[in-house]
Amino acid sequence: MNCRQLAEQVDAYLDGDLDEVGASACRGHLRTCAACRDLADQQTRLRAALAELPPAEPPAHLWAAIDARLGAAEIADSRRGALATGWSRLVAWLRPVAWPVAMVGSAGAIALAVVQLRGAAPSQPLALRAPVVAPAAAAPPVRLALRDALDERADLEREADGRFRQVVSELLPLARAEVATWAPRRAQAFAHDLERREQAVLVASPGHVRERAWHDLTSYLERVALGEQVAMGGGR
Amino acid sequence: MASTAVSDIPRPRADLAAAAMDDATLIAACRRGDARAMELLYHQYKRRVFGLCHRIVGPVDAEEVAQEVFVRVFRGLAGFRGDAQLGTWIYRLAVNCALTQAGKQRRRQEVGDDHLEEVAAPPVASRDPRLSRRVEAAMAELPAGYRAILVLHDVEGLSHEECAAIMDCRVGTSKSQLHKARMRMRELLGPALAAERLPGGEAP
Repeated sequence: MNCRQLAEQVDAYLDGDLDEVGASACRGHLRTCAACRDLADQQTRLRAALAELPPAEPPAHLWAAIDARLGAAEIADSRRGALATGWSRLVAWLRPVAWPVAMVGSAGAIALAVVQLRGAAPSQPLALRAPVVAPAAAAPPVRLALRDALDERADLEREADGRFRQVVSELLPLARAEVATWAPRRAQAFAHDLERREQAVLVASPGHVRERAWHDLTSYLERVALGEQVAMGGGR
Repeated sequence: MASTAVSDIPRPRADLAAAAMDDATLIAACRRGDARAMELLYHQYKRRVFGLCHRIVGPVDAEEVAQEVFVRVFRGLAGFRGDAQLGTWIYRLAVNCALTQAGKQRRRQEVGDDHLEEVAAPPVASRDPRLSRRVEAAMAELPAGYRAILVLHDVEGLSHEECAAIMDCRVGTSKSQLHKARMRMRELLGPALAAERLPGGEAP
């Protein structure tokens, strides 16, 4: 054994982790090398010093402070009431309703516009060409109806976005509270995953693509907040 | 509403034999909001939790962080699935909270706040007060991650298996991190450690 090998193994040796052969080789080297003996001495001394550090005594009022904070948190819970406990209901309500409503609503309005269009120019085989040949008097209401339908669709999309945003703002603190209990590496992974999903929402075009992105984000936060799939306290 | 009154509210009271309560019983009672069980859990873990916080973030922020840890413990017990030991889970929370705080301290220091000087303030003296103070000061110089593993293993005396579970890493990683932390400590303490030879002067 040389000095470099001893420096690498000195911890394992002092911790008693080496087998008999390895430990004997270390002892052999230590008997003949003063520098390594110093190193081992220093490490021994360091361990003793660390083990002998005076215990840090928690202050007597610590429990009272914790109890007060727990109480304050419970009061906050009770005030938040339905909002805090109802986010899962909100998510459940939002999922089947929001986007289908937006879609059905706007599709219905567009269909209505098309029907009006057909009514306005019954002789035309292709309804969408109708405005071109339709009497001037009929054109404005049709275009208005289409524009209304598109406006309404945009409104519904905005509304749905708003609701998803609300759900996210409800879930995020809960998820963050959960993530605070994770190991740093996993917490970093969460930050990364969250950012990726937020980005997906931002870049998604309105409609079912964005809806999917929102669902992905909210269900991810929900899983994290509930500690699902990411087993709390035991995962490696 | 005055939050000081919260400890006086009526709470469920289980038939608890305080001394002989296993973790599962204690957790169940705490989840029900049993005041005695909560206090019992606190007393069971307060020294080590406060010790971890104190060593990792220093005396100034230790109390605040320890409060945060226990608040998270009691608020998080409902989600604790028992797939780790209760102690491991609590110490992991403590290490995470402390490392988060240490990160904030570092950022404060980077923007010129001199608050961190207090972190290295010496605690109560031990058998060799001078060396203890130097050790504490050297620990304050370590990166927070090294400090955490050093505290868990060498100060608190936990095994590498326990350290790995708390730090959420492999046992090998725990050992190699500890080795690096000790080597760094030896560099920082060099002359102080060399100054005084152990009685007998020989390694075990």
